[in-house]
Amino acid sequence: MIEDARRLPEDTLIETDLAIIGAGAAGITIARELAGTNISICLLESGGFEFEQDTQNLYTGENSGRWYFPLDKCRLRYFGGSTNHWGGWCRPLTPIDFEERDWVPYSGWPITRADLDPYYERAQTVTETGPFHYDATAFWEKQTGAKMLPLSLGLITTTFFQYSPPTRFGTRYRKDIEQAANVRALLHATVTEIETSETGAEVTGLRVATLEGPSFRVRARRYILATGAIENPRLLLLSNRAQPAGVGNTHDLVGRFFMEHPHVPGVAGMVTSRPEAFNTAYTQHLSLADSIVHAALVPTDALLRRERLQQAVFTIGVIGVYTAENLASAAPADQQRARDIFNLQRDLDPPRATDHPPAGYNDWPPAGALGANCAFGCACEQAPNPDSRVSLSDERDALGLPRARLDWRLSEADKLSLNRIVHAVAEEFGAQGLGRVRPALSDDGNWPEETIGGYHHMGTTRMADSPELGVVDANCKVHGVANLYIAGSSVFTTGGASNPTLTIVALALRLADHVRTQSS
Amino acid sequence: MSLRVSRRTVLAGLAAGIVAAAIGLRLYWPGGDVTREARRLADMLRHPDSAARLGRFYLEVNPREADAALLVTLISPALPPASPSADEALRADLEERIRNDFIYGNTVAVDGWLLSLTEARLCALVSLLRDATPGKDA
Repeated sequence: MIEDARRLPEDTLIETDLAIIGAGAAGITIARELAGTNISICLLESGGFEFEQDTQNLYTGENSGRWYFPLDKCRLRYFGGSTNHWGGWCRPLTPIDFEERDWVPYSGWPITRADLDPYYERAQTVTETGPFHYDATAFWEKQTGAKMLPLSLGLITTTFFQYSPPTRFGTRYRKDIEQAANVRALLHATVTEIETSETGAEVTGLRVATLEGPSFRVRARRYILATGAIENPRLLLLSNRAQPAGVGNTHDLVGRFFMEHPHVPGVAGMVTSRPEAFNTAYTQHLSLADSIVHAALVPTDALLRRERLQQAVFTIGVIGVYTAENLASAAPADQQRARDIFNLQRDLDPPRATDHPPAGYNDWPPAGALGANCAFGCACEQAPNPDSRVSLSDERDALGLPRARLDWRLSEADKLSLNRIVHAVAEEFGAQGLGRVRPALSDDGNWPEETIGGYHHMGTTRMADSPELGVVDANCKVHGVANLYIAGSSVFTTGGASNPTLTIVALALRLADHVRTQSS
Repeated sequence: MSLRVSRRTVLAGLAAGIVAAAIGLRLYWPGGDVTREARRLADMLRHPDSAARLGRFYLEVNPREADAALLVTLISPALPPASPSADEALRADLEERIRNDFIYGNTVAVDGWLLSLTEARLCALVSLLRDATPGKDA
C-alpha cells in the first residue's frame, strides 16, 4: 500500500513493527524482502513518485573540502532514490577489500566477502544483472569466442562489470510495494528527527513532516535508516535532543570517513598496434548470456599486497583507429606523438599471428584497423580518513533542519597508489607487446584538480566490531542503540573500487534476513 | 664523523659506472665499426621520422648518451655479425630486451610515454644518425 502523507491528519501516530526511512535501493529491497511476512512495515519516503524541485531542494548542502558536486545534484530524493539516475554498473567488492590491510588505515570489515557471497547472488536478481560471473574469465572467453588479454606479469588482471538495465527501483518495484499487505509506504514524508530515550540507548519514535502539510509521528519496534551516506549521518547528527552529539555518536564517528571513488579523467593514454588482442568486451558493452558485460583491468591482489597499494579499476575507451588511409595523412599536432609511439610499437612489436580471432558478432577491431589510440578511464579506492566527513551546516532547509556540509578529502597516499598502478598497467602492456601507455598523473601526492567522484558516497556510518572504530556492528545495528539499523553504503568500512549499488543491495538483503530472524 | 650517502646518490653513482663501463667496452669493441653497427640497429625501425622525434626527447633528458657508439653498446653490447638470419635474431633479441625492460622496471618517460630503455635508446640512435624530416613517416 502506498499513500501520500500529505493527506494524513495532523499529529497522526503510526505504530508499526519496522520503520524504514528512505525508499531507495536499500529501503525498497528490505521492504520487498519482508513483504508477505507478519512484520508490519512503514516505509517513509521524502519525495513522491516523480522528481519535485521543492523536495529535491532539501538535499541542498555545503561543500567545504576539495571540489565536489553540489549535494542536490549527486543524489535524487524521490521514490526509488538515486537509482533514478543510476548508470547500472555492478561489480562486487573483492575478498581483499574486506580484509584488514596494515597499509590502509582503518581498513578491515567485521564481515568477509564469503559472508556476503549468498547475498551478492541474490542481489543479481534484484538488480536484474544476470548470472554472477564477475571474475569468470574463462566463461566470458567462451561466450565471446575470443581470449582476454594475456596479462602474465602478475601486476594487472582482467575483471568484468555486469550491468543492470539499470533497474529503477521506484518504477520496477512500485507494484510490489503497493501490493504488499504488510507494507505501508508514505510518500512526501520527511523524517525530521530520530527520537531516543534519554540515554540514547533506544529509538522511541520518528518525527515526520511534510512540506506545507501535516506533521506526524511513527513509533516502531525497530528502525532502519536508509537515506544514503550523506543524509544518514545528517539525520543522526541533527537528532540531538537527548544526546547533544546526536544518535549513535558516542565516539564522534558519525559523519566521518566519507569516501568516494576518485575518478581522474584521462588518467592515461595508450596506443596499440595489436587491436585484435583486445577482446571486444574491453571496448564495448556486450549483451551475452542474459547479461550485459564489460571487461576492465584491475591490480592483482599480489601487487596490492607486495607494494601496499589500494584498489583501482580501469576501463579502455577507444579514441581513434589507425588505418592505412588515415596514417597517410598528416596527423594533427596533438596526435603526432601518439602516432610516433604507434609507429615505434609496430616496428618493435611486429604483428604476430592473430592469437585471438575476432568473435565475429562484433565490430572490433574494425576492418583495416592497424592499431588504436585509446584512453583509460579509472576509479580508485581512497583510504578511510576521519577528516573526510559530513557534518551539519549553519544553514537550514525548508523544514528548519541544518543542511549537510561535506568536507571531502583525499590523501597523498591515495594518489601515489593510483599512480603506481597506472605504471603497472604500462609495464604489463609494454612487456606483453600490447601497447604503450602514457601515464598522465604527476609523480607527487597532489591530485589533479579535475578529479571527481562517481556519486558514490560511502563510509559515514562505518561498520566495525568496536564502537570505537565504527558506528554500526556486523549486523548493521548502531552500536549502543538497541533498535536502530543502518542500510546503504554509509556502512561500508572501505570502498574498494567497485561501484557500490550491488553491495548496497546485498547488504540490504542480509539486513532483511537479520530483521526477519530477530522478529521471529 | 659519519658518512651519509643517500639512495639517490648511490643510484646515480651506479648509473655513472654503467655508462663508464659501456664506454670502456666501446673502446675495446672487437669489430670496431661502430657506425655500421649503429646503422644496423637503427634500421630495425621502419619509421625513422617517428623514432627520431622520440629520440630527441630522450636525448634532451639524457644528453650524456648523445653518442652513437655509446648507445650501440648500451642497447646491445654483444651484437652478432651481420647476416639475414642474424638480423632476425637481433630483432628477437631486442624484443626480449624490451620485454625484460618492462618486467624489471628499466623504463623511461619519453614525452610522457613510458618506454623501455632499449627502445628509447634505439630512437635516440636514429635521431643521431638521421637528419629527420618531420611528417615523412606514414
